[in-house]
Amino acid sequence: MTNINSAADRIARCRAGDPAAIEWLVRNHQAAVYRLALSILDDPDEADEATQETFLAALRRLDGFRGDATLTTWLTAIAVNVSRDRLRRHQARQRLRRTLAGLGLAAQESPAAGLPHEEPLPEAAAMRRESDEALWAAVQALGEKHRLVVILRYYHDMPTSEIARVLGLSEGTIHSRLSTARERLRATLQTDPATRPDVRKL
Amino acid sequence: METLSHTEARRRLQAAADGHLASAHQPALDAHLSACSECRAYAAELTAVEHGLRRIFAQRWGGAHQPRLDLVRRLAYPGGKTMRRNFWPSLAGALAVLVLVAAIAFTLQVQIGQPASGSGPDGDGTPAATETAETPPPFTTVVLEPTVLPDASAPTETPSPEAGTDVQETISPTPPLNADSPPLAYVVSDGDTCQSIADRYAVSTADMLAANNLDDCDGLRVGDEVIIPYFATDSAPPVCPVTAPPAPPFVPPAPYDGIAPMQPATFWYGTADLWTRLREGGVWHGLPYHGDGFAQKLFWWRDGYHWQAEPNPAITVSSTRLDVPGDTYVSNWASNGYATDTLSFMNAGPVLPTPGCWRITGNYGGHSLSFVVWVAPAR
Repeated sequence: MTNINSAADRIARCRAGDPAAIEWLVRNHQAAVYRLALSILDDPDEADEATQETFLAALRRLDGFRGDATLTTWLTAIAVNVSRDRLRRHQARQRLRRTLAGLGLAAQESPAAGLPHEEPLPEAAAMRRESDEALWAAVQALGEKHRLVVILRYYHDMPTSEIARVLGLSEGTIHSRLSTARERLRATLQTDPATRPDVRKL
Repeated sequence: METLSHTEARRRLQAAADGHLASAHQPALDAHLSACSECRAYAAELTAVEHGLRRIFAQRWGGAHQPRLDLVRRLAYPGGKTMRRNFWPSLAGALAVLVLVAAIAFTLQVQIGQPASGSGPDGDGTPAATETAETPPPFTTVVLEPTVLPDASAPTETPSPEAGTDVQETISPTPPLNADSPPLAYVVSDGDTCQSIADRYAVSTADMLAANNLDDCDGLRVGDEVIIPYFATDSAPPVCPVTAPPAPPFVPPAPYDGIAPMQPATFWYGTADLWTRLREGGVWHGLPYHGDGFAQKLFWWRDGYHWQAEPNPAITVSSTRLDVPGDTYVSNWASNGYATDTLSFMNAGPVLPTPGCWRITGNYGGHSLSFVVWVAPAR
């Protein structure tokens, strides 16, 4: 059985700046925070920075952690906010870069899909199947508010109640966004790839 | 029974996808689906979207789940050294001795001709275990070399660029056999209900309560461990998106494409840079348990790898449990081998302390390969 008291005790020691307690916090949550940041930012370098920023913000705000949410939910909420801020800054930079390069027509809603990693993930090779590519492009085309709930639901396996807590929205709103997203993605998969003009226009 | 419109049937299918369908609404939906092929197609498409999403996300992000920055050093010990965290943190010194003893024991074991630990329950000959993907075909020549184990008392060093600078756990190759293996346990988190937990694992709430000696769910608290009585050995529960054979199948580059025969019910998985052999169905069961984990031998191939050129391959295998929040474990123990029907391969298994849904990632030469398997609990 997990000892809740001992977790609370460690958080108190984190507040006091105890390195061992901070090490515990970081070690136990860095993989989850990184996964979350990577899935929102789709860029390993940005995800690294976002992970560090999340922990710095969390350590600064530990006084605000009341224990009414679980530590994981609380950290997840911080990580989502940090990652979204970074994504917006990143998008703004990319738009500027594109404008400067005379490429202003590129899809603004899908910055991550349009940005090749400097070192492509080896998994990229496995994504060549057309339907997966189409689905990926459609996910990027969803727009942030729908894309985020889809990622939290289907990559991070969160129930809608948890997503609602993390985003500070009602569970009904989450379900509604997921339904809308699934409808749009379903429409994408139905379309014959040969005749599909450009999924980003859906 | 109430009659549903198509719109209402679709609304209910959407609700079901998020676990929001009241059980009272299920019978009418089932009745509608059995009569309406269009709505069955809709349901299948929704399922395809859900599976597709899990698949593309796992493919895109599944291989990387550790920040490359050393956050422990930066945040907890700015300006100082990190502490190494071992399996039993308070026993670091004792572990160093154990690792040394284990290394010697392992060397001896190899020299007297036994294969490395863990390819099935020792000696009981269970067919289900012997046909798992990790069991090697009959060897004509085998060379098994344990790598030099790192000094457990030394400050943490990076085993590979992919694993990041924070190695969580290092496992020794030969802990004692035959310890009792842990049950499949789920840690209750905020927002769970008895039903939602049971649904994740496709067990009934009644069975789950019985397995935990509970009369109802009222006593469950966040952080409690719940024993999950899921004992299917041929399929993974819904919570575990096990890796399926790729379509089209991956064919290794020559001369590996000529390796024959493949064992039944297994498939190649990966790319020419790193591939392995997995079992269809994605279930590993009957694994021997070694006190601190299930042992599973995995063979890895890479185009151009030669067993004599690199006897101790610098491959690391990390494992993360997906169905509960958990640590990532990294094993940097590896050996290798050669046989006429396997050619040169690396042999490195993951650290699997508990049953459950595990994502396993091999890292070698700057390439990583991830897949998801269900490690079934022992009955």
